Amino acid sequence: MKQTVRAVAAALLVLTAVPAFGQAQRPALPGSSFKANLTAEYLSRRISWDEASRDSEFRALLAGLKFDVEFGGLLTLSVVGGLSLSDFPALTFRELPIALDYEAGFVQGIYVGGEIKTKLLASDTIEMDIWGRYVTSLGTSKTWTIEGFGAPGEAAGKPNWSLAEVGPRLIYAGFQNAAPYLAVTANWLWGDFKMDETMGELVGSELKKVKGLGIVRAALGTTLDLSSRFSVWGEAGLIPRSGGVDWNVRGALRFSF
Amino acid sequence: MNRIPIATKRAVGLLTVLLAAAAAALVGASSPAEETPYAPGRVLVKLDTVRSPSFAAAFFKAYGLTRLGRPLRSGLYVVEPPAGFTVEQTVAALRANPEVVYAEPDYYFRIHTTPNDEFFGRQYALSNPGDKLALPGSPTGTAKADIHATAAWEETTGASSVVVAVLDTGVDVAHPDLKNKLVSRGRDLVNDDLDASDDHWHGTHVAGIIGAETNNGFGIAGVAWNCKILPVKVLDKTGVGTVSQIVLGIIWAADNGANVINMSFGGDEGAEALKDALKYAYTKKVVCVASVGNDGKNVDYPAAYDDYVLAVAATDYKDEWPTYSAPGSEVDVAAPGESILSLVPTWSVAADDFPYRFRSGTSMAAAHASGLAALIRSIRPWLTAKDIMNVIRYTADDVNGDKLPGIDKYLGYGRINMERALVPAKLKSGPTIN
Repeated sequence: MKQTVRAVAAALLVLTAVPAFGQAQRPALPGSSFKANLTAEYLSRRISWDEASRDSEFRALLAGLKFDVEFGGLLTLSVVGGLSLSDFPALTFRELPIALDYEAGFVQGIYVGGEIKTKLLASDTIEMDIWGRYVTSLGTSKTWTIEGFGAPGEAAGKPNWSLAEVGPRLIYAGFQNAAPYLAVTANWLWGDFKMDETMGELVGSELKKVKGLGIVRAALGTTLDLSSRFSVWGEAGLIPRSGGVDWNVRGALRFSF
Repeated sequence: MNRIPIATKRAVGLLTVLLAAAAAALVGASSPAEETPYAPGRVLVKLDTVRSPSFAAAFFKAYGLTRLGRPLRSGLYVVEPPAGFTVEQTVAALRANPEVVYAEPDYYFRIHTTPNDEFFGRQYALSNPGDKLALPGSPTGTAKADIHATAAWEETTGASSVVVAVLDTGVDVAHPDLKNKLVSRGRDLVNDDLDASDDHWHGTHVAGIIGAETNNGFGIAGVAWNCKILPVKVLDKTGVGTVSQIVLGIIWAADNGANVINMSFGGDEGAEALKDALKYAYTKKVVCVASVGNDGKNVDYPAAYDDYVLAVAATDYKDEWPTYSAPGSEVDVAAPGESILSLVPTWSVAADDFPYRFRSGTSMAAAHASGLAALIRSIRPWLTAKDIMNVIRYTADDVNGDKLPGIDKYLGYGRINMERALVPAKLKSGPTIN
């Protein structure tokens, strides 16, 4: 997975350095601009675990703030952070002394990340850019009391996961107030869920590593200008995988400075 | 009928949301290969029964649902999700509609693993149907007063690498329900040779409970289907052995691959040599299991060595304590010991007779617990002997808890429960699981 992260980071760096060859058609604006976004995202993914021998659902809800800094209309860097809710239904911890099937719902956490976008081509009606992001969610440890056994018990779980993706976006710029686009990205999801268990004299711990199925995401999205300063943005994506299709939806309310 | 447009409007709204969310036109239903816990393409939906059938038809049309077959009962339908929608999406959309009493996937239910052995129906200890039991005297049993074996076998039937040493009178190495389950002919410490053949019946009976060949179409089912048996003869043809023979047997078993040692015997006096041998096995991660004794008075040795041995008392077909099962603070758990069907040596019955008999006692109870220990070792080989003993203790059912809640001197933590020991517990939202 480290190799994957490095590859994504390298790709983003290279893409950042690529000059936008469409500048001649659409001169870049001088200076920088800032945007603040209230963002939300919902993921529904299939994850594999136990060395890909088993799989189950993964769901996450992210809500937070994103700040964009746009440099000369060519490069946009963003930082994002907020609260996350992560759920791993049917993830099974069989290495614990008393094995556990996770059905306890969402666990709170925080997430942080960054985005990068650089323009490759721009005409009056069509624009193309390369976009990438990295998000990591750090779960808080949640504890459950285990009752109904011959000794008092407790389980404490902490999920962490990360998401990275990069790919081109084709934007239609012919509308006055809207900019619909199609994005195709390479998408990686990975993480782990640590579960500690104590029951009487029994003590156990298991770190379950998980990996998202499906690596290509296709998304449709649009921005819609509400005023000179406010706009909304929405996007729905599909991630085909063996045996089905996963999906995510994202949205934001954006304020331009 | 004026409600239909409202339902339609709501449905269209919900479907629009789902479309936007998932671009569902491109989404295929989940593949059966995904092994969902429910039938693909089927949703159970219960509508308010005061509505007419025509309302249901209009309602389903508004959602793009296809009704499958006739209503299961008034207002309860099986429907097929619209093309491109998953079962989960459809259930979520329907649940949002106030006209829907409930909507849920059409979940699969499966039979618990039941072996095809000829006499399995007489093994109440493994699966107790209640009512009149096919046991001597045709007693009335209590349903589920068993060790919940069938549900546990869904999780594991044991690993062939796990070995249970049966320290006893030996085993009938030619028994058709046992001969393929033996690691070897074992060790005879009574006659000092490498042929632990049974010249009594006790060891064969105990070994059959633990690991009779199962799902082979005849005979009985063992607790640990796939685990192996290592016979170690430490008791002579009268069922008596010395501390020295038992000590040698424990050490030999621990040194020759045993993961579990079953000791369905006991004596009134302890011995330091015996305790040392048990400690030796314990430090090698060998789980030592012993019966508490049948005198109804005091827990025998080696069961009384609390630190190193799991002491097993008996229950009957009603999960009740038989008075012969020795009580004491050393009792860890209980298991069925009354009227247990298992193997007897082929030489002990007529040629046209079945080599199976009912026997009672804590010996039989201990054998069930040894089988469970072997199954736990099979799927969690990293656990220590102490861990496995604690798993068996903590997952036992406190079957006499209404009179003696918690640990008591008759059944200890309670009657063992294979399902709770082996099948993952559901960690639910909220403060508890069970």
